[in-house]
Amino acid sequence: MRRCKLLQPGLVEYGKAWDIQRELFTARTNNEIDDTLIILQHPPTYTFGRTSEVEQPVLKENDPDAPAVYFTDRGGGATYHGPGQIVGYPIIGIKSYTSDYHTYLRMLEDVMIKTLADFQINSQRKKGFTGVWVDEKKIGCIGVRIIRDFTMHGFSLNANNDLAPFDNIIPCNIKGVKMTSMKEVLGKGILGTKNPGSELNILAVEECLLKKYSEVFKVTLEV
Amino acid sequence: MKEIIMPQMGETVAEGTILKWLVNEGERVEKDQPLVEISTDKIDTEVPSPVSGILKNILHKVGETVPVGKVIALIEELKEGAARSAPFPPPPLEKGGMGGFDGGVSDEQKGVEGFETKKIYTPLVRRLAKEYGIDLETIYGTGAGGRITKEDILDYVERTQKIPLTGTTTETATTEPAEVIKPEEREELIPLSSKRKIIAERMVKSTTEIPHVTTTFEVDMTAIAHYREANKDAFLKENSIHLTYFPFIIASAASAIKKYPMLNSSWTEKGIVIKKYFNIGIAVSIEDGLIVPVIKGADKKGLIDLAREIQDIAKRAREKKLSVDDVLDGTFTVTNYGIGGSLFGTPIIFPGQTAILGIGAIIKRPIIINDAIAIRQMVYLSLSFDHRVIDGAQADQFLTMIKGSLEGWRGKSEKVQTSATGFGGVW
Repeated sequence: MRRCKLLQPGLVEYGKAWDIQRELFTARTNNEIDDTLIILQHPPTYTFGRTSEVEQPVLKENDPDAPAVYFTDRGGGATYHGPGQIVGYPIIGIKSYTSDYHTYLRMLEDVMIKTLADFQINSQRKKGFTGVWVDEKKIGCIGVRIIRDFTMHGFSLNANNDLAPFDNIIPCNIKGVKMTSMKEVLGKGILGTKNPGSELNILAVEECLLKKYSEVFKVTLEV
Repeated sequence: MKEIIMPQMGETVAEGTILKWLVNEGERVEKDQPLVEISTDKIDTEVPSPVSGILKNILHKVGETVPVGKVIALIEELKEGAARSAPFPPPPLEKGGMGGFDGGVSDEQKGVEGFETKKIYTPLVRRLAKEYGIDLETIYGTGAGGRITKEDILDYVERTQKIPLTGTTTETATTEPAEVIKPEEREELIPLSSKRKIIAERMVKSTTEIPHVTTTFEVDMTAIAHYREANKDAFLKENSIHLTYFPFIIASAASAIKKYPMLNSSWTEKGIVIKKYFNIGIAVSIEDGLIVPVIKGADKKGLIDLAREIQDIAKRAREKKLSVDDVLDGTFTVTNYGIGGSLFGTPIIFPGQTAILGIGAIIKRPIIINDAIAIRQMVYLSLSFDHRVIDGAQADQFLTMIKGSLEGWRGKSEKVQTSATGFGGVW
């Protein structure tokens, strides 16, 4: 099986992670390193893609605790990252997996859908609205940059992060969209148990997600 | 005209949206230069130019969504060598202030001023002219409407560099008026490799963000030299390792960052992050730059392990066999510029770290011990530190500890028995 290097640096400030991504992207483009998957979390951060709606709801100014804001070079609209959300950045040569850019998006969705299924959460695709949905609420987001068939940026899956910050932006350019998380879904007692969401172990989710990534992309992840 | 089409991005991708034109109409574009940014669903991508030429027409504006395969722009292709086969341009006339060897500085100024004349030059041409130090007024353009193309400049550079020089410049300088040598004849443009760019980016980031201070200590390495002399053959035989001074210094640096954790930290706006892991990067000079592989958990490794790992990691660095992991997560760096003969330097801190230790050349010097002159193996150790994080006093305490542990090596080493399994756990 194809190999893919795995990096799990933990909680990393967005700008620093972006630097790491760019460095690895350049190295990958020059064939100096293998395909690499970065799995991490960010401190509270808003990021905007190139196609984000220009007029976003106003963020509170002069608030020292306000999340950082980054205007990035990925596709997609605005999003929020915060602790408890699992973020994945595959820095890979896409041709080894698919020649179709949209198929790549479907593969990323698959990784998240399969992960959620293992936690007994039934999630779906929604035609025309890339990402992963639990009924009418969005739980997984995608934003990617592909240059000369090499990828950067990636996906984020809401595990047990705070959802309130999404209310300050237009997530993914979909006005009025509601976001949800694994914790929220499980907490509603979908399983019939009493508030299992509070027990959600993010490390277990990460581990599961890595397993699903290696299944979907048919790779061996190597630390 | 070369037609630029909305690229095929896969069977299921039917269209793309123009995000941004990276080249304006009428501008020169080189083969493979990014031409336009395209977005499809959640993906941003770039379309490189398939040819070199002039971007004549942009057929779809920013924001338009265009089916795959449809023409989005037209490029007037400039055939390779077209400029070269054009009538040979007359040699540029000497202009006031342009002649003479000693006019170097004013030539450059002249070149810059030249950009403000009314002629229109493409950004690429202006950039090349600046890089080669060429006055564009002196070049005959073969492009559309007499425009100067990239080929014109390269052609000019090539021609002028081929002018044979009679004797060396120093000879001519003494005998006759200085040979007319243009700056471009003495210069060569080396394109930036991605490695070079990263190094440059890091250096600028470090020196602009971090207030650097360097403090230097002199350390007597004689004890270690004796120890090394006595043990290096056994080391090589038993462990296949060349015992250098380097692992001794890494070992004492590891103990010292553990004792003084502020040296093993990161400055952030929110506070100083103390790292409770001790990963020492070692700067290794390689063919096309510098790389800093990291020895993880250096505080837990003995002298033999450190020596072995340094040897291994430096070898892999030179053979370009390092993995991503090998270069990430350093918390402190040591650079050994003494290897090239330098006595002491002012090393630049690796961004995200607080200090870097530089090792000078280890050489015999006469020094005073108990009012007598002695010959000792001496080295200058220089520590550059982030003055936001620590002050000179802490830096000097840190170096004092390193000095103490290196100079005190004799006392420790005497107690250490060599054996087939290695040395005692002193380090």
